[in-house]
Amino acid sequence: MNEIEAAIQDKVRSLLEAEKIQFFIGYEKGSDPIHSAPCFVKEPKDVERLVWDPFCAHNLVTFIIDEKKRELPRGEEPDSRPIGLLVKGCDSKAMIQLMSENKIAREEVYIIGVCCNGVIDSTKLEKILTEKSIDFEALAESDIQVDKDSVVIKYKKEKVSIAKKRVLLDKCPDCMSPNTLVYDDLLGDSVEPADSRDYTSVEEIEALSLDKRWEFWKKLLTRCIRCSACRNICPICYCKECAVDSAHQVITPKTTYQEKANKGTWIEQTVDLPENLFFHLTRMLHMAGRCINCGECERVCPMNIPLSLLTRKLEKEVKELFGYEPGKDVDAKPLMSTFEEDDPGDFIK
Amino acid sequence: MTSSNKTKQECYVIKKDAVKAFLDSLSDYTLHAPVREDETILFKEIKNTDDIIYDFSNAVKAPKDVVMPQTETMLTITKGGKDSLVVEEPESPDKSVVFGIRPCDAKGIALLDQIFYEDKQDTYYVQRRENTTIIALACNDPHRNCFCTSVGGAPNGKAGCDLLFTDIGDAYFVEVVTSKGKKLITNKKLFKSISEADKKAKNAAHKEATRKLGDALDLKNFPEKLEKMFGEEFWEKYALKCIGCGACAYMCPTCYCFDINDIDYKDVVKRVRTWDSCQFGNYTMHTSGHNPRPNKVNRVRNRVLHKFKYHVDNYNEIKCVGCGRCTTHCPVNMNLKAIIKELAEKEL
Repeated sequence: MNEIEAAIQDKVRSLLEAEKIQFFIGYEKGSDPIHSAPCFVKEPKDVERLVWDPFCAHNLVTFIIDEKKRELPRGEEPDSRPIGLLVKGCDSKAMIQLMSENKIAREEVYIIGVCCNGVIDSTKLEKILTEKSIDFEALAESDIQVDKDSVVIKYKKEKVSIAKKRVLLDKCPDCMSPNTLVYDDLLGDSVEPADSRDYTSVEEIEALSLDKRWEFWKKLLTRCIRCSACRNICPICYCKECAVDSAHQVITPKTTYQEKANKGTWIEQTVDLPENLFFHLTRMLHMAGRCINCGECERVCPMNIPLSLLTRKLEKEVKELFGYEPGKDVDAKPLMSTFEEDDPGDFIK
Repeated sequence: MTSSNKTKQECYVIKKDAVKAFLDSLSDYTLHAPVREDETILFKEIKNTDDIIYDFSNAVKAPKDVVMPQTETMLTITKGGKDSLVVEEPESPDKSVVFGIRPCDAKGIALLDQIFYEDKQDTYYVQRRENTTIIALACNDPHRNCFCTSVGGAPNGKAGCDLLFTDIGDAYFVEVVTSKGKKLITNKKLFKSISEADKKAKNAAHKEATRKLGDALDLKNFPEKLEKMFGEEFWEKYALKCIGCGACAYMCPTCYCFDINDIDYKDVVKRVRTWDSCQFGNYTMHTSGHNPRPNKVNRVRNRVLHKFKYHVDNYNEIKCVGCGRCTTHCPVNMNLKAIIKELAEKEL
């Protein structure tokens, strides 16, 4: 067990024993040696399930929003105690963004922050392991560490070192917030942030001609099966009723036929290029100035659609046009609800 | 049903370099086979047989859409003359061949047959199914999340297959499973008679694949046990991390729920059926606003119970083929096999 893991377990145990939190959300070992999974701990005896390793990818802030949507069973009183949450630097930007949108109050969450050297992309690692003919079973008893420049895997008597860029999630190598920004406790040694964001991948797409760009996205968006994993994993997508779902309307004896007829469906459930395109464009428009690029949508997409290209583009646009960075300041006004006299207007001409 | 048209076991071998010629000869059929698009393995309609890949674990998504497309037009309504409407049914689907489907996914289609044939015949499904011939490729190297042997399948299972190919080195061993499959074997220059060595190689490949899958779970009395587990609190433990997306259901070879909508495209109204998932909150939403499965715990439990209890009650078979996709692609790494194992071993 590493030091951070031990510290997390100790802290959570004492919080649960003192009944200071409702429950704690952290990570546990996943289905195989190269995955970790979200873990909900309610009893002090279960804290031993909690781990901290380079596979702790999920942005757990999503679950706070999820819990807020839960329908309380009849007779159950709401619990006013905070929920305990393990939050990495990148994920803490989601927390700040949600606080700035008055969606979560600070006192609703007890945050254990953790300084992070980067998270491994399991898909990339799987590919590397296959190339090197390393068996998954062999990794069951392994020590995997992320240091300054590389990921070091020690198993049995072997040692493999892989350059960070090849194996970490795409969001990690140019991460500018490796240390949790808002927390109750902070664990681990502070990590040096990257100097600047790397927009090469976005610029490559921007450089394509309109036709080529359309071909690029057409192929990818045709592949989308609309499973909604990208939307549901997103901490910032919190609407109870979503524009992309099939129209849902409560019908009572008083509902008129006009009301029934006028209930709009924004996007049909048919899976084809026009509707898929609308699904993603609608989502992106709603994300502008709000997406903090935690990259979860891309990580969970079962069809491997590189959604981060879109979210990074959003980040770049709002930074260039408005000098705005979402998830940075709790007191910042949400970008789309403010207006400055010198805002550039060229793009809507 | 097609799968009951069994013929006497007939076997051939086909050299690997002759498979392309065989597939090219199927020009009367629309061919679906696995291709690699970027890093993603997908079943696609094949225009050029050079695009087909043979060395793969399994496609990201089960190719059930060949018989049950994700979006299917059921009828179209257009304006006729004065005061009249023209209602048209879609054209009959083309004859098609699916090549390279894994035995688990072929069994998935056999399980879909139970749904769409037995109580009432679903015209749309039946038409496609009757027109589809399935050439499966036995699994020699199962994925780490696979567990077909635990749910009554095998890496060389024949359920749902018309022909079953097994890789035996430089050739495929071909087992003819149905008369529909036999119809494809016309060119005896490509399909040659088998030798004892071929048979041995095939059996060895099947044995090795089964060994790689490890011990099968004992699920004999599991459905009865699940009945008693409905009200237990532990479901919450599994459900808490679920984000309620449809990745598991849309990847799944056996999930078949659908939604039907009438869509107005201005000149034409289409009645369209699309896949749906019981993991979506809206799935059970009543018009009254009441939702009998209001929280994810209700929905996750339903997914497990449908596959391992309700379907067994109705059709005497587990509605899971152990392909492991729901585990591989779950955004929160929910591990179905581990859940089943834990529940099956739990003392009540």
